[in-house]
Amino acid sequence: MTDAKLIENFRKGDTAAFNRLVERWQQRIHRLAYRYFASHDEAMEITQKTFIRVYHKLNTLDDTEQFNAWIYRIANNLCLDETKRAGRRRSSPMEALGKPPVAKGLASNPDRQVEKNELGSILQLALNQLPPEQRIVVIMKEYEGLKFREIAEILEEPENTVKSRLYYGLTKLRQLFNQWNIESEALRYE
Amino acid sequence: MNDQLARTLFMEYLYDEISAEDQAKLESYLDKNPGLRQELSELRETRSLLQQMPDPDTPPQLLVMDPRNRTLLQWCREARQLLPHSLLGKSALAVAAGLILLLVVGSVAQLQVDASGDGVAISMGGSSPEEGEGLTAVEAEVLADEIRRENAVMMADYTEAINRQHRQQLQQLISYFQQQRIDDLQLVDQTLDAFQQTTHDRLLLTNRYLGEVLQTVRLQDQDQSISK
Repeated sequence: MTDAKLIENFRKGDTAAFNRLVERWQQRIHRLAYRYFASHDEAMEITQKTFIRVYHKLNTLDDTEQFNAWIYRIANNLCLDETKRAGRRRSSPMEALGKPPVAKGLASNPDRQVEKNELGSILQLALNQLPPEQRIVVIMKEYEGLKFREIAEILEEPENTVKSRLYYGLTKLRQLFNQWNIESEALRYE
Repeated sequence: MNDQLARTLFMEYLYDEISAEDQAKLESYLDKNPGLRQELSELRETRSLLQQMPDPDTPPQLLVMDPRNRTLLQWCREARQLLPHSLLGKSALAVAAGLILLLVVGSVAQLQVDASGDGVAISMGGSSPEEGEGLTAVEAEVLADEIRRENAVMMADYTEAINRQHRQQLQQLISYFQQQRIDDLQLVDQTLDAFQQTTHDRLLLTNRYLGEVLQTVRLQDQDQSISK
């Protein structure tokens, strides 16, 4: 059953249809928020708030085929609100960064799971150095696999702006990885 | 094409969203500009690194429930979730439920308890226990004496029954040990007889062998004397 059909059923009073929608989307929204904040608690909070808002506002969605973009937009706005509300400074100058927890030692660690977790932490740390507008584009493109057109629609920005943010985001990440000596060594364990 | 334009195509190229025409133009330009090709290669490697990030743990399933449309079955499921799961909690709940039940039944049956005067009086049906309906002190004393006597008789019977049972058990035990002793003695006697019989047989056998030896020796002596 398509999302549009589930929305239609929900509008007729079928709460189970909404739960199907939650079941279908929860993991994606949670993953997006987790990549954004690097925190399970905050990811859960954003996920819950997203679905509460969807529950209350779903009747106002004109084109149900646009649900994907709509729900991602809600989640993104909540992430931005949360960042502003908490006065977080997710992005900091690269010069201010000290050494990362692990750099070249990754390849020599015998426990691959630990290596992967460490690498994941470092990548997440690097991601969190990006400005929010670049970070969300990297997340949507790299981890959600959305097209440039879809991201542009979600963010309500021109496609070229999205591409430009992604380019600067990746370039900045490249600089960070070089600075932390993370490159082919990290990939070699695979 | 220039460097700036080439960079604008990098993202489309990296994520396979570039048109065939732009791809051909970009690759042609990159062939002439190894610096840009290197830059693209580094961006590709950055992508590869980002793909190494493990997925977060699966979040607990959210569930939306509309209280207005809740069915009886859903109510029951939710109520069951609210019940305590520990033994202590269940016990406390049972006691509380029992007290509530008692209060409800007492209220419906108009249960009345009067603890004043000579004792406790319980009545049902609305009318309060009247004075004098209970036992007098003398009657209560007689009743108590009778109960005590019955208790004493019952205890004596019980003690007698226990003693009788003990005696029977002891008798059975003694009989068992006596029988066991007789069996053991018989066994010893049989064993001694068998031993004596064996010894006697062996003596006879030994005497016979000795006789044969003596006779053999005697015959040999005779043969020697004849030969001399």
